[in-house]
Amino acid sequence: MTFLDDFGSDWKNIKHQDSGIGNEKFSLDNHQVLDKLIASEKRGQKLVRTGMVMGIIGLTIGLGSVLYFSQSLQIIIGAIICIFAICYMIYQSRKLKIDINYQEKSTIDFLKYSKEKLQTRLKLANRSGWIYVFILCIGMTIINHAIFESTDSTPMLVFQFALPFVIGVVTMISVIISNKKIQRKQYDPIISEIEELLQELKSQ
Amino acid sequence: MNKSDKENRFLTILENHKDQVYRICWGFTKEKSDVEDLYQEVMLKTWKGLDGFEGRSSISTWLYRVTVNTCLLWKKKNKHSIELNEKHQHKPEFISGSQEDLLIQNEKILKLKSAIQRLNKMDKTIALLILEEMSYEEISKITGLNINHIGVKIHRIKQQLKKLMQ
Repeated sequence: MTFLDDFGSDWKNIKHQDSGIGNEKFSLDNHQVLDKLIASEKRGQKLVRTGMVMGIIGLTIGLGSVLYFSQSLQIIIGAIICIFAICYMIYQSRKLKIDINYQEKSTIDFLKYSKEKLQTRLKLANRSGWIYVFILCIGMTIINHAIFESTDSTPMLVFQFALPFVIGVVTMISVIISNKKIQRKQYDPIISEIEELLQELKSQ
Repeated sequence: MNKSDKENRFLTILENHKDQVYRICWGFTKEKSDVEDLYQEVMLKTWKGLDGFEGRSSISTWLYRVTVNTCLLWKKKNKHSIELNEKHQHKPEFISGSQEDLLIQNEKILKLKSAIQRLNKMDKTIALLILEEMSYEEISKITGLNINHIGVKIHRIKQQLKKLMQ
């Protein structure tokens, strides 16, 4: 018998309590744990469903009004491009999430995956943001062109075309600044911790 | 996997492994409320991950991987309680009185836990897996280290723990 084996039986006396013994917080039985998880999952699904329904209603009303009031093909094309930009952003943000299934990989693989994901996540988010802003600006420019094509004033035209780009660029710059802050305050400490853990794993 | 299959599978996992998961969470944390949070986090990840479980490894290896990976990068959500913990680090982890504490209030185990707490995170993980009587092969599957490396590591961890407990 080696050291630590002596502790085996005592160690195994430490048990997760249920059937109402001891601390009330740990009085949940297996079915209650499951019920809690299902309830939280349902809440999440409900939120997603509500968001989707609201999005579809908004999209239908928005696109419908554009179609109804303008009856201009150019505006419709512009609106479709803007909608595409929004869909692209939703798709990208889902892709940036950490894959839950990686949780079940071996510790080394999981740590390497998490490190890589944390290192590239915000860079990818920024890149996707620029693409989103660019597509959205094109859509808005097309719409603006249709609305203001009758304007004779050149400064007004320039202003109307430049406005979406200016707003987009300013928004993106502020997003990048805040992402840098997130990287420095939240991600970098975790990355260093992961590096430390990987180092500990390699050491003999 | 349909819904009731998933629920049954989850309940079976809980039935067979909840104590092991709990012990690993307990070994990773200092305070009782933390064990609860961490345990729930592991359960949540287990539940979410069950859909993706393809059966390439045994369910226990899979569960231990989820547990260990969650414990390693687990962070307290409440900043205030972190400060409190750091201030009270020297205090014993158990509040006497409850039946749960009576079960675990064993001087030997307390001493061991306190020694384990002083190991680095990876050594702590391996020590907790040894206490669960896992084979080198199982530890290798969970951590991703090769078996020889684990042998060396375990030897060193045991020596270190012995020293810390003297």
